[in-house]
Amino acid sequence: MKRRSKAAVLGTVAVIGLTVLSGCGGGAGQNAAGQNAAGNATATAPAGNLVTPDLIGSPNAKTTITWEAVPAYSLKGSDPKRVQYLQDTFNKWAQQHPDWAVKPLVASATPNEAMAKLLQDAASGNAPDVAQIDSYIFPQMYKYLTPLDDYLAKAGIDINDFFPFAQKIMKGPDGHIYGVYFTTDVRMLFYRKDLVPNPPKTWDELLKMAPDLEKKGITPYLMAGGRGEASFMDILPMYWALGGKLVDDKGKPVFGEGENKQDWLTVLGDLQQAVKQGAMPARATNYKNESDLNTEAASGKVAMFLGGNFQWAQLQSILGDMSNWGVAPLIMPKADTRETVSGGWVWGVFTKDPAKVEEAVSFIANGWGSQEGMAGWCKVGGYLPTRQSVYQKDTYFSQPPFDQFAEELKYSNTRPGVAIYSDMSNNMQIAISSVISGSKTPEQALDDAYNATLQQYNSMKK
Amino acid sequence: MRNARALPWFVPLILVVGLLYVYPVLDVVRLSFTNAGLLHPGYQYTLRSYVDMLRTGDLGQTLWITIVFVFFSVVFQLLLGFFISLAIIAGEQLKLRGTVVVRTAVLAAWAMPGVMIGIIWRMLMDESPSGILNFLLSKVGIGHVAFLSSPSVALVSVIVANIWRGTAFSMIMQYAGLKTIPDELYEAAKVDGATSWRRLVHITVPMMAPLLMVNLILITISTFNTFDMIMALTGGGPGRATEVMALSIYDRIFHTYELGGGAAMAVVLLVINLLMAWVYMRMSRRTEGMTTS
Repeated sequence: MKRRSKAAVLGTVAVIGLTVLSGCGGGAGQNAAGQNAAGNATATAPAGNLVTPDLIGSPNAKTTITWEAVPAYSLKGSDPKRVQYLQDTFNKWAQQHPDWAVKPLVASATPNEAMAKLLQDAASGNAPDVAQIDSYIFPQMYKYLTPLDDYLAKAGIDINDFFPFAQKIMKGPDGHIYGVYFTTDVRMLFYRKDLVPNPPKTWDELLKMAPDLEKKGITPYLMAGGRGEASFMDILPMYWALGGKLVDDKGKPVFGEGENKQDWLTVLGDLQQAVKQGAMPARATNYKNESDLNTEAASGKVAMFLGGNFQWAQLQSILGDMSNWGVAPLIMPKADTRETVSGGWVWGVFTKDPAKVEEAVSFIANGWGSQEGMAGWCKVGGYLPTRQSVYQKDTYFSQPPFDQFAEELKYSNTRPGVAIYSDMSNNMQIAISSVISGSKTPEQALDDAYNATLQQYNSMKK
Repeated sequence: MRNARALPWFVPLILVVGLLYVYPVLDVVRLSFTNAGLLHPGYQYTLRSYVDMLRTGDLGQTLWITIVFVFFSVVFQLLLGFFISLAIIAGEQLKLRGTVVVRTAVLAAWAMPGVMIGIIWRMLMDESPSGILNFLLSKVGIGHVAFLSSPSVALVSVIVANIWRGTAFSMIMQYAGLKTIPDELYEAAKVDGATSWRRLVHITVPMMAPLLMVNLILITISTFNTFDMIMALTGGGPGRATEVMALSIYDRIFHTYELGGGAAMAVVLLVINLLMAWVYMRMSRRTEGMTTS
């Protein structure tokens, strides 16, 4: 009896172990790319809905390509409108491509984690056939991606139609096109028309108008100044306006040296003065991204803030009426300069199989790359199109405030796609947050950030 | 012989533990001796990650913040847990209503995900005109408090949020411990004329000492590994004022993609955790010995 119960315990242990192991194996198998089990079956004419969260196209399709997107851009997203849009466009594509199927893979909801995993997969040769890549990481992927020049031409996508900042990212150092930049955004000054009839163009103008606003119990200006990508990214246009450079031609950080250092000290000094003179509260350090400012804007106690175009729709859903709000170019450190910054996502193709690349590009064009696809996805997702023709042809994008966003995109730049950027951004976020909170002077904060970045750069090179 | 027959049955389990636990830990240790990063191909074996960590003072600053965070979190979690469990026991003895509600309410804080707790406290400590705590403080004549934007106050805010989160675990452990103390001891002490303070000091605390030690070690390990709540509450800022070790590791790996540097910091945290675990095992054995003897 004793022996039997012992055997039962051991058996249970073994069964649990094998179950876990087989579970792992199954999971790996499910994620595997390539031909499906029925690869040799003849594809029959599809009918009805060919889109499920786990497969786009017929289960009998001859070949499968894998497609990876972050949750908000996937069939497993939480917004029913987006999911419906994707289902409709994918179904249309699947009907037209009966021999092909697409296996959706969902990346981490945290962009940094998703990009870290994708970089690892790409380096080890396990990247999906098509993947969504953050625009500032995209240049790090050129070496793993497939050039798309001929395929894009065949799909009717002309790179010259894209805004210049998008073209710079899409084209690799060898002049080939490596991706389709399909959504973007732009940073602008959001201001209350009743409180600020003429939005300030420079920090000096902001400092002059701040005391009157303060007397009314209004916070003059806010921006994301905490430990988040937005605090560094959003301040870059001010640095660029002074002619500052982050890295040299070889990708080495130079932002803490010579004139570049002086430019940063000017920008950080402007922030310090804004806090000291009451134009911006130190609580800006509590905000890690632009959307964190929505509650402040909705409270009716903020006159201006540095925001992203995507906040227009967000605020509209909170406030209902946006007629009292306007957008203007960002506040610059000196007059007669105009700069802004954009982020966004790019589709890249990793597979080297020409037939798969052709289908992948057709899939991308159908959902996001063509004029209709880009307009449709940007409308439903609240993004800005990267193709200039979309603003001309689609009435939705040719009216305010989109016409102003489109105008600003002409002055836009993207963050440098160099390997050291992430370290630099992290160190400068600490510097910006320290200056705003008053724990460091601009010079101390900049020196610390620069030294840490140089050390990390040297470590990379060894 | 019998052990040899049993071994094959454990092979699947050993494989799972080896693959999913032991191998990743060993790989982290290996990576810590490299300059590996996700943004540059290849790597070399080097001690540079450790040297840089010590030379730049990164480790010192982060370690100091972590120690302050852990020390105050643990002390107050332990004390508050002890007093709440004593209060619940007293309430039960007096047959007061609501002791179960109190237990459940305190436990709810423990059951919540760290990120959610961070968001809740962020809303409470909001420094904008709509901030809840600042509004309440203004009603009692206390001025605006920079809960999250002042470097020194932010660390206190993070500690308070963590105490709120972790007290329940200590409370439930100590509640269970208090239940095991025989009533006869208290009755005999009462007969001898011992005051409630003397009963607490001479009966409750000594009887609870081994369990309190285990409790202390478990919450110390858990607090050393805290990062999700801080990430949501302050993101480690302002500056680096609330950047604890676990958050620093996350930052290095997922924000700056430095596998080598992140792994080196993780190894330091692993060593601290292993030391704590070793003390915990020693204490557990001693507690078991006391129970069986």
